[in-house]
Amino acid sequence: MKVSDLVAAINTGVGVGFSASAGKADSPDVDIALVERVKAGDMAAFDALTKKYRERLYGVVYNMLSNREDAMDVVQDSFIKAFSAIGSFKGKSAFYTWLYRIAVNKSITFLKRARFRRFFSLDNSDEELAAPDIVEKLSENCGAPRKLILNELKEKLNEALQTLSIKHRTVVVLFEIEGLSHQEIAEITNASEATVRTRLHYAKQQLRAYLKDYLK
Amino acid sequence: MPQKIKLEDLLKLKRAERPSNSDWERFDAELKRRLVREIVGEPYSKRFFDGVFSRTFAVYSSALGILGAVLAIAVAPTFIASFSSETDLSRQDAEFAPSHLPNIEKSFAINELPVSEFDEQTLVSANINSSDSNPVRYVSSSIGGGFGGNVF
Repeated sequence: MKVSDLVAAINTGVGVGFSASAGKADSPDVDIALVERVKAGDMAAFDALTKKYRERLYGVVYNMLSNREDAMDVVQDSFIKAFSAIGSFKGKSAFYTWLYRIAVNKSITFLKRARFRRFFSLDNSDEELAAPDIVEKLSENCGAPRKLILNELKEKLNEALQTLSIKHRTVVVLFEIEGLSHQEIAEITNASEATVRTRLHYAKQQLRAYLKDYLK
Repeated sequence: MPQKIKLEDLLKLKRAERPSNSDWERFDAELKRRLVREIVGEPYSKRFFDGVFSRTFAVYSSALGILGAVLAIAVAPTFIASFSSETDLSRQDAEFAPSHLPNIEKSFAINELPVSEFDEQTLVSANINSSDSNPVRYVSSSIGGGFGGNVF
């Protein structure tokens, strides 16, 4: 299969076994083939990998940092790092797990450096993707317009995530928002599955307490 | 009747926060530029200056600039007022100040200054006869011809 075919397949979502809503890639063979091409110097293959994973990587990083500009920078850093270190990728884990690990580590490093510099800049929500049934429920419960509810909730959710420690935030973002499994998160964070479950449980307790007004 | 909402439902809303297509276009362009730089291996100096003039630096320098401007605006009126009062005073002083005469430290008649006390910095005036063999030949120029003697 040519790289251009792969790119076309990835862009159209046909033949690569990837579903945008799944939150994870189930096409390790395609990824491995692309990685091998990148190792051989094929930039188009790297472009294909970038286009395939940039949104999911952004999702992780953005929800950890709560700042869209910083998230864009960190995602770029992650891809640059992946490109320069791709020779060390042996295929023992899935490529996307490896890529997520780079992005999570980059985010953690960024957060540690920018501990005293916290600005939120939030992305616009895609109204169609914003779980309309949930917004509808909230709108009914509060008696406020949907748009208002959505904006307020967005800010409140970001605040809630920022109250968590980096480790707990990482687990919540990867599990609840990105939809990865406990096992995948354990691989990415280099922790045991039991640790991941414990962190997730504790983080959700904290979030429930912070967001109790919305969880009636 | 209010409907129960779960935490997991709320967190699903976060999936909807995504950059626009134009954001992704910029992202791709910037990533390509950085990849090329990574492959080509730009000189350290270029990377350094790129780093120095990065967005973060721009934010901090802008903040400093704004702070400086605010301080300047706050302090400038006081400074200008004190400066203008000072210049007014000095202008008044200048109007009434007498013009200074040349400062002559010593004045003596011919042959009064011993050679041992001679100093190049000492301004002297004396009536001097050019035919004298006296080593002193200095006369203040401001009073040069006023004494009717020779001037060297």
